[in-house]
Amino acid sequence: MISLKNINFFSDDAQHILKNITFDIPDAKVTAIIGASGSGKTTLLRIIAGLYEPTSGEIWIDGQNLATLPKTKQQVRSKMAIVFQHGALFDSLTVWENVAFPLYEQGTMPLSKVREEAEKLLEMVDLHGVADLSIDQCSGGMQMRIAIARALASYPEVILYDEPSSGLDPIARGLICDLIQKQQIQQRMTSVLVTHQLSAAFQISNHFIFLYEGEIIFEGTADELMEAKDPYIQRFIQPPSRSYRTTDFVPL
Amino acid sequence: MKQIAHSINNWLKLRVIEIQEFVIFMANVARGLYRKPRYWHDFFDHMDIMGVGSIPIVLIAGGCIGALITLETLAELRTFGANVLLGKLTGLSIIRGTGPVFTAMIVSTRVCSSAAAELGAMQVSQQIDALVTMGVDPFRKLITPRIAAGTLMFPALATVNGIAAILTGALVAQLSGTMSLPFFLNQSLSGITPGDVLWGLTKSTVFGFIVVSTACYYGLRVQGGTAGVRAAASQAAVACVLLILISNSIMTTLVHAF
Repeated sequence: MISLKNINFFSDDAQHILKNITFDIPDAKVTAIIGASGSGKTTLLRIIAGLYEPTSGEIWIDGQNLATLPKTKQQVRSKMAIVFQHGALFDSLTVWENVAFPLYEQGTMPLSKVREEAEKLLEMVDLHGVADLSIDQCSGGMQMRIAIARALASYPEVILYDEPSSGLDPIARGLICDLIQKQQIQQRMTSVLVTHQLSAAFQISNHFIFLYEGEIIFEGTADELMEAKDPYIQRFIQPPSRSYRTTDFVPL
Repeated sequence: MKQIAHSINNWLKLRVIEIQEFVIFMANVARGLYRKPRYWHDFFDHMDIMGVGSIPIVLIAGGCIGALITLETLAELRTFGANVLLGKLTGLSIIRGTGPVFTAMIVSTRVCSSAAAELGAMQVSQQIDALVTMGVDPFRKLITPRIAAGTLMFPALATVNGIAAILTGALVAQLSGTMSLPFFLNQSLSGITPGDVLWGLTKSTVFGFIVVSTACYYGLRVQGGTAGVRAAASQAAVACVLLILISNSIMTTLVHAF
């Protein structure tokens, strides 16, 4: 289990981005961190991934405080993988080379087996016959699935998703959500999903953290979130009311 | 007046911060040289891109420089009736001075902005963060192989440039009827000592190191999307040319002083 205790984060220009963040990420579940743009979701995910150091506070992974274990930090972090917004794929490599990259770097697999393994991972994310394409030949939805395959290549215990369905059409978004759900069910993986798209979060998450201006204003299940009394949460989760009538449109 | 002093103060502070950042950057690069894993494949790739890929422009530039120096030197020597020194002066000028500097400047136009833009684009698209989360040190993977390749390839390219310049100079001397091609070459080669060659190669090595490390430094500190990439590429290109000229002046002054 990952535990965050009193995490504070100040940006370079001294803005207090995260304020006393404390919560647990339960094992083998999907935790959704939701909130409006600029609420600190991605910063929080980057702190969990080790890309940012918190200004204060502690991160505990499986009972180990990362701050007091500098040498084993990397080993503990290696149990995690992150799927970045828009994929962050290496555009100088082909699809299969991208997926195989962590396998090459770990150096635990014979080179002759690496391509075979990369193709297996691509099949796991429902991509067939694309191994030799370059990244710019792939659509946004395909790129996100390749990024998930690359994350799975390091056989992580925890997978972090940063806005995985952002900028995708509804069909591609549905595919990505199904894929995350499939991985969670089949491999009992702990997942953390950062999103501002409630439909995606409700489809696949069991545990919700709501951030507002760097503070947690809600933690609980989907049902509890729907019943939350906080007016901001209410406004966030209610579908926008239609403020127009069909008769307002002039036929072309 | 106070405002001017405040601006100067801020400007100086920023430069000091940049120097600090650059020192930390170079310490990370140096650490990458001595620690495993070493990315030999990337190193050879960059040697190919920077070195082999630059040969055509280095040859063309060498030819132009050789012809130009020969013609200008000839015009001056004629007034003193010292045409016979043409090969020696041209060869020395190319090997010790203009060859390494022009090669560095020409190659930097190709290498500097492209390296800064490529690394900047990787930074903006989170590819560098992706490397970090996979446990890959971006300095060892992306920077150290580039700097090592540039430091090795610049002297090699300066050699190619020097040969092209001297051969073109000899051809110009022959065509202008001043002296025969073999005589010019013989004079050039006899006038150049191993010390001159070593000096030219040392300068090129320093330029290679400066150009590629500057480009990588600007590339890695990109912030702010495509505008940041554009700014980094242009800042890197300007900084590279200025640093080549400044370091050349310092090295030449030091050599002549001691």
